[in-house]
Amino acid sequence: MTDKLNLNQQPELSDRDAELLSAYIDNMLSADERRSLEARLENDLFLRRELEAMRQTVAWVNALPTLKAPRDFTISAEDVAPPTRKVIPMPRQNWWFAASAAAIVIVLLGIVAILPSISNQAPASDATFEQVALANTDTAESREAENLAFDTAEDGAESDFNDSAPTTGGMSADAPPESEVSRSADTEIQAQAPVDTNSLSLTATPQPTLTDNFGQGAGVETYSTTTDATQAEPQEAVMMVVVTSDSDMADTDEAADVPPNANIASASVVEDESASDDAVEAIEEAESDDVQTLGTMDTLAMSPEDQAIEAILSIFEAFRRFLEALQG
Amino acid sequence: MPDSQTEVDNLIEKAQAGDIESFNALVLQFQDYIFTIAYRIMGESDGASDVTQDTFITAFRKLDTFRGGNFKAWLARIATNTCYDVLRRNKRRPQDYLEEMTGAEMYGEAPIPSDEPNPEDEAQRADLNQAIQDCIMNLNDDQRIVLVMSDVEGYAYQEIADSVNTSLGTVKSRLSRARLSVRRCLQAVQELLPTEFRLTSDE
Repeated sequence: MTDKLNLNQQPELSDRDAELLSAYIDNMLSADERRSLEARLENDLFLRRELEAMRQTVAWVNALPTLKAPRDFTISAEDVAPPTRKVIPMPRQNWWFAASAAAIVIVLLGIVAILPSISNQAPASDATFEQVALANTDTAESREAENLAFDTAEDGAESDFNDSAPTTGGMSADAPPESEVSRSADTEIQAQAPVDTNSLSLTATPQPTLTDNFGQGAGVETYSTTTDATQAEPQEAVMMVVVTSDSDMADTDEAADVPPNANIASASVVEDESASDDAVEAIEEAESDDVQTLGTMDTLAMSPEDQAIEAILSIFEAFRRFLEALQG
Repeated sequence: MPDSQTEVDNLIEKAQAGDIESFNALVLQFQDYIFTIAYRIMGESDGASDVTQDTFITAFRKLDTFRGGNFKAWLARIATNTCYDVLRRNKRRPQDYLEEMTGAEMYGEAPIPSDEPNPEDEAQRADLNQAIQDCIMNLNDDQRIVLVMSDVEGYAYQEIADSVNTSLGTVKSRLSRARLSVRRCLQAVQELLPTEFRLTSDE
């Protein structure tokens, strides 16, 4: 019992002492260090034993035999020929990335080509977004509308919604009566969207405060955004941009307004139910059901250049998520 | 096979002129030594063989940078650096699977010493050597390379520091930790060793 206890209490060589002993063996200590260590060794049995054990270890390692090579390693002229360029076939997966990158570039070029025409058309309409943006002069409400809430929840059904948002999720908009019809319809579209819906909603109302909720089903991020809509015109300007997939279309009343191509975002702009011809088209790419992009009124009140930047950033974000999905 | 320094120097000179046959005579002279270094670091024969082959190919290509001196040490440095590169590239440490196997099972059939062993004496010594090699393989890459360079190849601290691009203090520290680790490792298995091969610390 006593022996066992003593064994357990045996001191351990510290790293510092191990370094001193190791360097001592190799005669790598300074004169002062050597004298100091040797003085300790005279009085410290444990240290002497550790020194001896380390010496023995070094001797054994040093005495390890030279091994016989398992074969001859002579070289040939081919072995030492200058390296030639090798054509490395691109892995199959890289073709996917290349194809995806090419598709993104094409979409970007399309956006660049389309945006100038949009900006040229804009002044012709009474309900263009620039005009909408300039029309509102209610500064008190503008300040209130500057609050931007961007809430994200893991479960769409339990998402954080703004106080003004309906408890069922989807879209809410504190809009005046004249825009109620359109807004309600839009809200219904979003609220009924199936779990895997990829939808993008943009709503501009005459109200200085506008709440857009971009909702998806459980397990999908839900964004609730109160946009800065201070420029909204007091008349009626409700715009809705819906990006949806094929499956969504079958489930929504508005599906007929959406082009059948699920991978290209479409935009339908409703302006007091009669100004839809002044629509601004937003193009988004929804590569898969995992891809979603949120646009806000701010985007539409921006200059064409800023819109282009926003659109490009959105494309990059969609592409990034697509790559993550591929890698995942 | 060359048996004098003059003959080695002549072969080096011819090899530097592009004579592969002369270089191959040097290969045959030093391949056991280079393979041993590679085996001590890599811990298994196939990896050591690859390193050995790459070492001689690299050496031939870089012969014009050899400015005389100890050709064996020059080769050893190439071999060590090649091991270092392979270990870094693989990111796969031999000790990852060390715990699952032991001895010859772990590294395949252990290479035999280059000189003819006395069967009885060497049987005991082989157990110790295998235990030492196992303990070396338990070290991390940095410690193992420094230990092999110092205690197998006989490099001075400063040469090691220059070779692995680190400071003298780091070499000191790595070497002391490596030695202490091997010493503790051997102590843990010494009851398996013949009495004369047991460390004195526990006596």
